[in-house]
Amino acid sequence: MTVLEVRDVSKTFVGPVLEGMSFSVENGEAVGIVGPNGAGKTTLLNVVVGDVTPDVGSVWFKQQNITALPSNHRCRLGIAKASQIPRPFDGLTVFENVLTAATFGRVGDRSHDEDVAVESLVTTDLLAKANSVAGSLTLLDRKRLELARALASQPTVLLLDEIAGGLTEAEVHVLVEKVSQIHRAGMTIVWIEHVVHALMKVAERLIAMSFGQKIADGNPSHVMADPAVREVYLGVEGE
Amino acid sequence: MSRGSRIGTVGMTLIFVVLGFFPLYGSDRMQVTLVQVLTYLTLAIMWNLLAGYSGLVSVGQQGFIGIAAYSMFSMSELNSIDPFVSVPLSAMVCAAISIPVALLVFRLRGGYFAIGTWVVAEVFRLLTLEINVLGAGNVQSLTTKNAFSGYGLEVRKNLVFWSAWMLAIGATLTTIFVLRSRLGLALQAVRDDADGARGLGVDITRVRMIIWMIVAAWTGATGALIHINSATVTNRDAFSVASWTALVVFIVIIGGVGSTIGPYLGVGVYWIITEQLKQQNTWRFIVLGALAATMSVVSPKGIAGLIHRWKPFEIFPVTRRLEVGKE
Ligand SMILES: Nc1ncnc2c1ncn2[C@@H]1O[C@H](COP(=O)(O)OP(=O)(O)O)[C@@H](O)[C@H]1O
Ligand SMILES: [Mg+2]
Repeated sequence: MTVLEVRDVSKTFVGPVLEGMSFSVENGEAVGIVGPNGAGKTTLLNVVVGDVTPDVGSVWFKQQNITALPSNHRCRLGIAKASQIPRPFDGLTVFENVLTAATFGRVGDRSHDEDVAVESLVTTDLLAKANSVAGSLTLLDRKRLELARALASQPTVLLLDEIAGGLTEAEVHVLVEKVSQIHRAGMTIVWIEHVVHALMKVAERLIAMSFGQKIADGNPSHVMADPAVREVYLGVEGE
Repeated sequence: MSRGSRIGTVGMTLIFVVLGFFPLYGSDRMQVTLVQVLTYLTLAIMWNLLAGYSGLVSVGQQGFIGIAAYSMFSMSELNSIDPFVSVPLSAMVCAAISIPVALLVFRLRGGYFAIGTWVVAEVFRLLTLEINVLGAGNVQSLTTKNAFSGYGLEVRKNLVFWSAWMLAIGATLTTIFVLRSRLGLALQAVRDDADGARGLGVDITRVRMIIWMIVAAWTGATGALIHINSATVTNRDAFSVASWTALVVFIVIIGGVGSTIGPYLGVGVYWIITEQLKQQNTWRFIVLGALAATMSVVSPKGIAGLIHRWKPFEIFPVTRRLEVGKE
């Protein structure tokens, strides 16, 4: 079953950022998105969660057109995102941050809110910092918290935007393990990542973007071998 | 609950209980001051809930004081409603009027929001000038013939005191109740990052509306009582931005914005300065303003922040602590 679909989305800020972008994700799939800086990847995820309204095109979740739905409704429907730049609620504790997501972003029995919140802290190795004020966290912990908050809303589709950016090789390794584990438990994942080798360990399908358009979509090794993709990447690496 | 919190809660309860009997043992002069202190405490607690915990920095709360003053006046002087009954009724009037006000000012962000609230308050002031039955801007008095018929001076004075006392206790309990509830969690999330909170499922307009109405109601109740106490309603004074917003903001900044204990500490400073400067309102305003300005540079979290740096504990336990050992 197709769980998420973006149809012909275009968005112009100062210049065009997305141009006729389409893609779909099947239930239980792990899809990776690659592309150079400024390709429009973050904007694409913002369109999916409702932070950016597309100029044309539509977003579908489980056969429902959600293009006009505000982001709080989309979260409750089952779409959650861990952003590229983590912005925790600085005045709240780590536990209160995830509890907010478990309480408001999750539909279900309210008596489980705290358990769900704790579970997300366990998954992301943040339990020991549960009572720390979020504003005092290091970058790594802020990134963990960003992931924990998305998990605590118990989404159907988890969107990850460069959550490995700025981490050491060892930290990336641990993160890849976590994401695989979450995926194996049945979560549908869309993961944008610059660290391609990390992505290749989890993604079953890869989408390559350039200048707001999809230039390849399919088996990860095929996509990375695609001449168009290689050109974009060699161009980047050549700088 | 930590030991510090327990001592704080017991101490605070004792202070309020002892205060409750004040009319039986205290001096008249002190009782007058205490009414002022308790009403400012209520206003400060409410403004802190709004600005410190919800990120809604309103400088138009005097609008609700003025509306409540005139609604209390028209109920109890022009009609036959008991003045003390008009206090909760005026609160409801303010809560109702706060809804359309919110629909207007919630479209504005940051500084524009603050200016918007002030403009709306000014519009209400100007509107009351046009209403002839409300005196069209002339000083209106509550008379013993109408509003206060059946009330002796002594009884009236004590009822004013106990009403102020109940409003302050109610405001304290409301703060604890709100901050410990789901609403409190949402409000603080919205304050720290509104878009992020929405992305995690929070209906930000709804939670802002709820706290806005709660604060409008309590501010209104306090406004009605202040004017029962003064027994007059003067247009300029009822809608005074200096008396009902600036002074309140000073108190909260001195005590500590976004700290549950901040308003109590701030109002303590207000009390000391009022005592020192007797009835020189202008000087009181200048001194408190200067103190607030200094505090915002030295310690943006006020006296509460200084105490917290020295010894971190919460008098009112409103942070949701996870007992990790339990898991
Ligand atoms: N809110 C915005 N306002 C203006 N320009 C934006 C905004 N968001 C993104 N852009 C621009 O859109 C382009 C694509 O950005 P982004 O989606 O972040 O790319 P990526 O995530 O692939 O690096 C960039 O040139 C960026 O400057
Ligand atoms: Mg990006």
